[in-house]
Amino acid sequence: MKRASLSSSVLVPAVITAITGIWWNASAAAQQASAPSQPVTADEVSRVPELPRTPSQNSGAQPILLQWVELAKPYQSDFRAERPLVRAGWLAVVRADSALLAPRSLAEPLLLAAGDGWITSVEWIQHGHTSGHRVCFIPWVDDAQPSGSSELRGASESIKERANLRDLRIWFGTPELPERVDAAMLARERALAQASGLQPTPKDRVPAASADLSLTDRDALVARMKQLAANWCPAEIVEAEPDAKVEAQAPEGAR
Amino acid sequence: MRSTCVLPLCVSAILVSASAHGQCDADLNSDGTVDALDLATVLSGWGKTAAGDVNGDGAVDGIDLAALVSAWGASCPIGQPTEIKLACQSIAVAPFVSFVQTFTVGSAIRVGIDPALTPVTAGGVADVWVVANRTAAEWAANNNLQDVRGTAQAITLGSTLAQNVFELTGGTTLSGDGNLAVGRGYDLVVDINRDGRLGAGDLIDGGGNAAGLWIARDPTASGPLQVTTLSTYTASGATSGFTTSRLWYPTTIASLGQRPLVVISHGNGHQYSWYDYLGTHLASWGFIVISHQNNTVPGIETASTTTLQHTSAIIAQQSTVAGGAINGRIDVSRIGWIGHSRGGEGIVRAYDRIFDNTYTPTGYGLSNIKFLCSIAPTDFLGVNSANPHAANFMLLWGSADGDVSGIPTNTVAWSFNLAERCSGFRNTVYVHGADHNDFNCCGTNDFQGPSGTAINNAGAQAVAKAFILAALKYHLESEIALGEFLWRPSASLRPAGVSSAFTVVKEVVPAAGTNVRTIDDFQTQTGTSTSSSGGSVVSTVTNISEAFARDTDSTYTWSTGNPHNGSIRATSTDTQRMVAWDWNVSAGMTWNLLPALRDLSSWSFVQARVGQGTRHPNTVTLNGGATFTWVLQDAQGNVAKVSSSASGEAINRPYQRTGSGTGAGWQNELRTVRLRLRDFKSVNPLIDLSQIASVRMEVGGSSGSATGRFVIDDLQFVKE
Repeated sequence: MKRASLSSSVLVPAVITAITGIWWNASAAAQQASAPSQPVTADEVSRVPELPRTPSQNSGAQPILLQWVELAKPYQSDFRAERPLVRAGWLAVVRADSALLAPRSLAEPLLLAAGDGWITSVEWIQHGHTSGHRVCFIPWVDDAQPSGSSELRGASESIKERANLRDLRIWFGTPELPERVDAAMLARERALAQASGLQPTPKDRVPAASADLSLTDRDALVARMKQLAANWCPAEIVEAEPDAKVEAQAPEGAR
Repeated sequence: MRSTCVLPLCVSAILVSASAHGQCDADLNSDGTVDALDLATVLSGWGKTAAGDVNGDGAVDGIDLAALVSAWGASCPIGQPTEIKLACQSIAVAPFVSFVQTFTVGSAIRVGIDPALTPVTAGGVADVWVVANRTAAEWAANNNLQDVRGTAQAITLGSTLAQNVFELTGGTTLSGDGNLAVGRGYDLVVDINRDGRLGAGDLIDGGGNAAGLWIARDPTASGPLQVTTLSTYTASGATSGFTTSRLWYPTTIASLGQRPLVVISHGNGHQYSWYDYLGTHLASWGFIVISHQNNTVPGIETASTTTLQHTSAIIAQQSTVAGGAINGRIDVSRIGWIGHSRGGEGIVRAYDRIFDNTYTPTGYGLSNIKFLCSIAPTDFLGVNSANPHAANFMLLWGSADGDVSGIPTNTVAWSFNLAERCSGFRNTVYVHGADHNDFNCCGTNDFQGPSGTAINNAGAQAVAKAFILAALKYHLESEIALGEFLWRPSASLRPAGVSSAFTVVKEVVPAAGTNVRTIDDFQTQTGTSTSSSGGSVVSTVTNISEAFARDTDSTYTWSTGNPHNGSIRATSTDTQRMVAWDWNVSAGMTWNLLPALRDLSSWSFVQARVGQGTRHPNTVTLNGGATFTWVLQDAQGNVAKVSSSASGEAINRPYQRTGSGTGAGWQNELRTVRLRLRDFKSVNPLIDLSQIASVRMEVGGSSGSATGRFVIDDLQFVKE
């Protein structure tokens, strides 16, 4: 039996339903499209939503949670061709059109983030298509340094300042494998996004950052991401991650 | 006939008996002399029913000793039975029988004797014996025949092959229970002199180590073993966030010895928990199986890393996982990797990384990976990085895949690329109506195809269970007979659990070596008038094109400028070539063989991969299966023709999916059309297989479909 477009387990907090209205509508439309009353001569319509054009002015993702995280032990990012070392970044939950979040075996749109003077390839561990939310980590990668040596320079406060949220954009760019993204590609993506008319997230829609978080290493970071994902996208994460317990409270951004 | 005499009271009767059987019956080891070796055989079998039974009465006793003594010193022909395929099934076209090895339980099994190949006396009576499979050594030690059906079957021989086809009585009840083997082997003997022993003048199918006849159970059905599932365990050393894995193993593994390991790597947006159907199935047939979290989001490199890591982890942690139940039970020398989608490319990348020495796994090495199976794989990385090299490789793919779809505009979606790169044994299974997520439990429905053609999860997973199990048993457990599932059309051999309504298109290309003689691979000689083996090629077909196996104009629409439309087997950096041509009248393509390649007397099959050219006007006009005729001509000018239909099926019409241009018909679906060379001898006994001057594919007229377009690759002769 195929998984339905929406698992019943997603119907947890009604408030998520409201937040993810886009997804619900898309799903309903897809179900209608596959109704048996269709002419028998027509090809059946795939229930995988068609990929919207990216980047575009509509390919943005709305941040609904942001939290600065620093790691005692850096890790090598799989989301960059240069495999830079990462020691800090923004933990985030974003909301987006489910068509942009839907899993695809072919290249998916890159999830990118940029602020004033920086741009990076965003890391994530689940798609978020079942809820419209994706938990991700916006790693701070210092592209001013030689490839693969993007260690922090100076005090952590200055790094956080450099990874500022001014003119924050989080968006879906050109479809590509994240592991093949390099600095040159990021520069091109920035230009493409600007050319497409993609606007920064309005200041009043950038959530206040949660209290900074210090973690030991990537294992701890991933555990935290799964914990958030279990809240925000339970249909995807709970089944696959028995250790990721759903927290009792409603998702933070939904309150 | 059992004598009731006992030594020494019936000497005369003994002599009569010995005479009736002939002195040479006492030459038990068929070494040409009745001597001490034969006496030793009698003495060692004394009082038993084993070797040494000279008169074939079922007991080794004084009568046998007397017969041996009376024949002492006799010179006998060095007797060897004739080894020849006997097991067969009836077909509708000449030579009206197809000689095969594997049957499914309950099938009608026939024995065919071709007087053109093995002279027999018309009107004579012989006995057909179905004997539990023996190795060559076992036959040498014991040539007494014991029929598993209880008694042999008398047949009256005719003068033609058609007259010499006999259905085995009780054949439909032969057991396929081979314990962990999917099937059970038997040897077939035609006991010409009816002495109850295999000897000179007799015919045997299975006189070597391999069985002549293999009765296979349904490979879609659960195996004989109960399965224990460990829902999750944590793999040490795997990428953070991707450490969880699921384990299936036979509950009685403690009594099974070491078992092969199978690793399942899921695709992007999929979960490790979505392959229970496959894990349970394979474990029930004796495999230890894991399905792990796969790091597919960043890409193929990361996915390959998790495959490599989890394989090492289960080997390293076997003493602790599942309470140590599998400790010491993993046969590290027999590992199979199965990957789906990005995971399907990931396992190939993993293999390639070890091959290239850019990754050294812990606990196993390249030689331990005996089999790769990619289900609807992507091809992000291309020929240099996603290359199975000489691995045993199987591709499983659905024609209604709405994700890795095969669209001509994106080579990432061309799964066949990976198979074409493989230089080892490779086979493909392309099933109509299956979509991408039909091969797991829970992915989104991505079906794209004509209404009413979907086979859904149950159908696709039956296909997956059957052919993955067959390939695993073939490659990891040497159950060679199951290899026939990989190339025989469904009409000839079909797993019972796979619906007869399904269109399953299969290719097999054996690894280059001494068992393969390639006449034309269309690679090294790119002109249409010379084969890759150096012989001249003459064709009378139209619109012939030997070129890269790629659609060049981003649509599946045919045009003279895009003669390989529908071919999605070579990216811009691949070098795979094929030939394509069409016809509206009698026509053909003839490959002349160089003298050194003409002796085919020891070869088993002629084969090529053939498919219909999608959306070509002739294909549209034909609107159904296409046929052709193989024609062999020897140096004396004798000609023998056998229709491609003798393989069991026509070359199917492409799946009628629309999109990517005008018209209906998805990619070019190649299937291996393989015929036994002896079939040509059956239709024309004069043909001299030791001097075949040319092989021809003939179309139109009386030779096959009146019109059509073919895409062809790899004309080969193959040994069984």
